[in-house]
Amino acid sequence: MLRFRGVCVLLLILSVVVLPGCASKRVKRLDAEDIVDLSGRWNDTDSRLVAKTMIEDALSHTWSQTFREAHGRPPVVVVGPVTNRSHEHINSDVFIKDLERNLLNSGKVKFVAAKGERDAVRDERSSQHKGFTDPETIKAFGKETGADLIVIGSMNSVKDEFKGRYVILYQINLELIDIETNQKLWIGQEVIKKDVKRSKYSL
Amino acid sequence: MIIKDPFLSRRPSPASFAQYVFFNLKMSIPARRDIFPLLLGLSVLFLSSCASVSSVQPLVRQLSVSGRYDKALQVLEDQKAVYGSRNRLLYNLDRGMVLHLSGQYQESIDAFEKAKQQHEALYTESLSKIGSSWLWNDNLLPYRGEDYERVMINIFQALNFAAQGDFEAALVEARDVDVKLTAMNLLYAAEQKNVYREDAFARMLSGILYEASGTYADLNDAFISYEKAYQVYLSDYKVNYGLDPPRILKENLCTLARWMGGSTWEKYKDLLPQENCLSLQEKSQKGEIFFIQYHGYSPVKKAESVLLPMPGGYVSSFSFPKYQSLPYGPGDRVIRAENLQKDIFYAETYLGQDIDRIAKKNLADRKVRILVKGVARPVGRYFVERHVENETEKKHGKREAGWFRLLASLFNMAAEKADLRSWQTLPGEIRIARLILDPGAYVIYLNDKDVLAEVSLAAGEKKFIIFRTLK
Repeated sequence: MLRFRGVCVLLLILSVVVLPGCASKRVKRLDAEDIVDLSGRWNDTDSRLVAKTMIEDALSHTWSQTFREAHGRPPVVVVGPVTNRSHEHINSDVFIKDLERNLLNSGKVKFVAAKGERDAVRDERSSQHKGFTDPETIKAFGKETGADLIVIGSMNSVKDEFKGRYVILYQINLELIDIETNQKLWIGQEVIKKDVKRSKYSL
Repeated sequence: MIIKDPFLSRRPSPASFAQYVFFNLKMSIPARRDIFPLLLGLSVLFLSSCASVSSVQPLVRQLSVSGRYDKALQVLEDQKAVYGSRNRLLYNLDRGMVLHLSGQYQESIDAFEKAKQQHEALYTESLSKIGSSWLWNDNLLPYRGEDYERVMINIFQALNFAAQGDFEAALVEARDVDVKLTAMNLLYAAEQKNVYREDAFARMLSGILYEASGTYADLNDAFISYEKAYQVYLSDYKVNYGLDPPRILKENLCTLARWMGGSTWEKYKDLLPQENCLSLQEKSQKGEIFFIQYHGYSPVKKAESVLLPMPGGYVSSFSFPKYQSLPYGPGDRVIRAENLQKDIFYAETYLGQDIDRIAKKNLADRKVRILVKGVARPVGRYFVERHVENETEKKHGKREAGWFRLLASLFNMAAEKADLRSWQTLPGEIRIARLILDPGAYVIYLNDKDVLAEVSLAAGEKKFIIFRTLK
């Protein structure tokens, strides 16, 4: 009898359990430095690590000093394409902007607007010439600064997966190239490796 | 009177409430024998809420094949709750597909990206849900999708990006396909042939995308993808589905082998007559238009049920899914491109991916597992019910035991439902065609009558035109 009752209660409880439950929401504020790995995919921590390594590396070398000695002024840099050759959609803007900001703030280099940004600036300049703007404040055409150096890069990944476990390696390369001479002045590299295990079962 | 119950006069915590319910149930059972049938009846009632997604999906499928995408999206939006938490993946697959067909590529990318992440999260199975699926049926488990569906997500994503001209992002999908197929392959022994472990179409598409990107490393990857696709067509697709490598694949493999030179070129130089094997240099003077045709319906799962009379007057049943093809016509295949000088160029779409047959093979591969679970379930239930019946007879008499038997049989019939869920907005076939044309403006027709697109083509440019047909 006890077992029968047990089975019946179990049936009822299970029936209720399988009905859609109520959703609850929890919000917890984190420091930008906190490491939270959820899925094993590329995330904010990876971007931050790449930015940190690249910035430290780029500032520790003498390429900007050498350029300044040769030309009597700091180099002007433009950010070129950073190609995603990995198997995940990675937004390179996150670490590229960090790098740009730190290099600029260090005073060692100057930056000009990159390809995508230029169009917006040019649109604005064109609109100044349409008769609405005070003539004294109109900016002239043909005065854009030509960059001396370009940053290009690539993001690569290798994933080795078996059942619930995979090891993934991301390699991010950034290179600084002299636009006139094609000489490479700096190559930065960051490698991130993760071992991700997913359990087959949960309760 | 419940209202006088002192327990309910304060706010109960969930745990104490459960204790309260359990305690009261225990106390009231001897007094009310009809609580058992009531519980069983309630269970049957709850079960009936499981099947509703099966009524929405055919509607969405029908609306999407007839080109009424806005309506299909509206239905999906309105019926999101009907898909429910267990079918979130299915919802995003259907939604991503409708958006893809309607040309809303960015929205489709977002939906499929969600589907991908859900797929990954579903790797971990919930033991409690597995437990309840053994007691009732597999519909209680979240829809996890089939292996070939995981690869189809990448194919559609790659095409979403390619249709927008974003080949860098499309290649991310191509690399993801490679990672997935490599991992899938490791799960099977080398001699195990009759399983879905490779995807020739996905490999071919990857090759096309690598070639479109055009850097040195990408061209090398293009060759590897084409060669792999060619091998899979011959060793797997031809054997299992009667599909030869499409002509486009042979042409592209030949071009890339020519670019590689050396022994690679020796190996493939007789694949096609010399005049059909263009060099990359020749190709770069021209533009290419790829046509991706989704045709027909993917098969739907139907339940095959077997009544199982058990000893002692019990009736049980066991039900398992079986694929059934939906009828569709041969479909228009001929594509005509016409330039401003009224020069006419023809191409014919060629079957590259037979989803209908892949789906059937995939299910056949899992059939033994489904059957074992399908038989074990009613047998297990029978032993539990038989035991309970004996106990009931001892304590309450024959009449109550008889009632229990009847209700248990009804419960058995109601509970046993085959899992008929599948990605129904998938087409039955994916066909592919390609035109290599001089730069210029073209009007593209399907079978000389319907205008598919108006395209302006530059040298070296590659465009994708995606369309859906049924009849």
